Amino acid sequence: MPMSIKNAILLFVVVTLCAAFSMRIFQGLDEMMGDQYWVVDVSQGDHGWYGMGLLPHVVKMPKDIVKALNTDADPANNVEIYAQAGDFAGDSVYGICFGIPLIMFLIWFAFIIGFPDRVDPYLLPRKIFTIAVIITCSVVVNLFLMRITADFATDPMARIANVAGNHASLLFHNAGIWFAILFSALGTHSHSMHEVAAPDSRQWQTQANEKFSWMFILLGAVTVLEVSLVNSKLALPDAAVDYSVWIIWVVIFMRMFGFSPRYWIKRGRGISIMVVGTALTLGAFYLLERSTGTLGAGFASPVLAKALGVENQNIGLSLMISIYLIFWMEFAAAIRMNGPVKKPVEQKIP
Amino acid sequence: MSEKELELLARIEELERHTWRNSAILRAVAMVAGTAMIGIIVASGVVGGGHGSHWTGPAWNTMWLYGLFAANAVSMFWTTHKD
Repeated sequence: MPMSIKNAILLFVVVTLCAAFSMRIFQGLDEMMGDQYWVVDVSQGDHGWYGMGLLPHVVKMPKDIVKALNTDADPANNVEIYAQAGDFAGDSVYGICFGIPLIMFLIWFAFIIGFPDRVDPYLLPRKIFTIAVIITCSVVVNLFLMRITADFATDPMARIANVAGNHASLLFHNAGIWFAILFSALGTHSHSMHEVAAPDSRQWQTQANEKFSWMFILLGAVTVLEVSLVNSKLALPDAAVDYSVWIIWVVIFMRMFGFSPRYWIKRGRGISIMVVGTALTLGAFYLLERSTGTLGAGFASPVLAKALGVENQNIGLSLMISIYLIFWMEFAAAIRMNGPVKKPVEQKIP
Repeated sequence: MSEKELELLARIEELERHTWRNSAILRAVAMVAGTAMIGIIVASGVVGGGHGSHWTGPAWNTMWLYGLFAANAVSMFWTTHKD
């Protein structure tokens, strides 16, 4: 049974509001820095760090002074740069950075809580506790990773938040998704007293061989796609981030819609939700960039053209497409419209 | 059904429950292990990286992304599509 259109819209609105609010937190950190650097104040705490070494004491310092200190001949007077405005939220590629919290809140609300129409009041406290654990794990682990980056940064002008996560909001929200999947696999959010009945394995047939070959065919396809996108300057020059999202798309696509064309042709509705939703979202972010002037879409982007040159104005297109394909694919699953089209069963009149 | 058959059925069901539980544990272990394995490679990228202005190379963020690949690949392999 698909979700009613009213509930589907409710889910989308709630998830979008939460993602926008979450991004506001990171934008607030960016705004605190203004046009100066945040540098680690080594005179305080344990050589500039507190909270088990996870949090830095930061002070604002003008960029030209930091540059003069860190590029002169004397390495002893170098300061450690934590971040500059933009390293947390990533407003210049807002379309890309917004997609990750959007997916995260969709997973939290739809797949963990069962919002809006499958909320189990008995399990709700357990599920909210699971989400609290996910948040705590994400924050602690990522602060730890940022501290590691700080200790290993070699380039004197490297900004810790940027080297650790490109944009720190990506770190925290990606980990929010990863821990959500991990705890779901562990069954943290479901009943423990009533064991789930094991499926009847007598009817099972292994599909592993077909799955492997189709996975490698599709991975090969997105590899070719990624290389051509990079060569035509539609993707980041260093393919590590771009490519990882495309290979995630492959495995989620195979899970959602089946592993071969035999299954895909029966799931036209879910696939069209994915494609149309992505096209509409890209349009929405195009208009958002035109209306705000600061929140970049990642493609056809005056913000990127100004920062990196006109030839690089489409450099986020690959990430925009792959991230929103994943979001709309998950959304189709959340509203239970990703399954095969069922033929109406003829009723036998007794 | 005879008592012997019932007893056998009960034993098979218990075995199935245990197999299912073990597979659930293995799934979580595979996710963490796959992420950690790739995390080591990404970590070496992070350690070597950082060029001041616009760093777009591998970062810890990228480790989470490859971790998401590991997690989703595991659940893909455990999903069966009947039609």
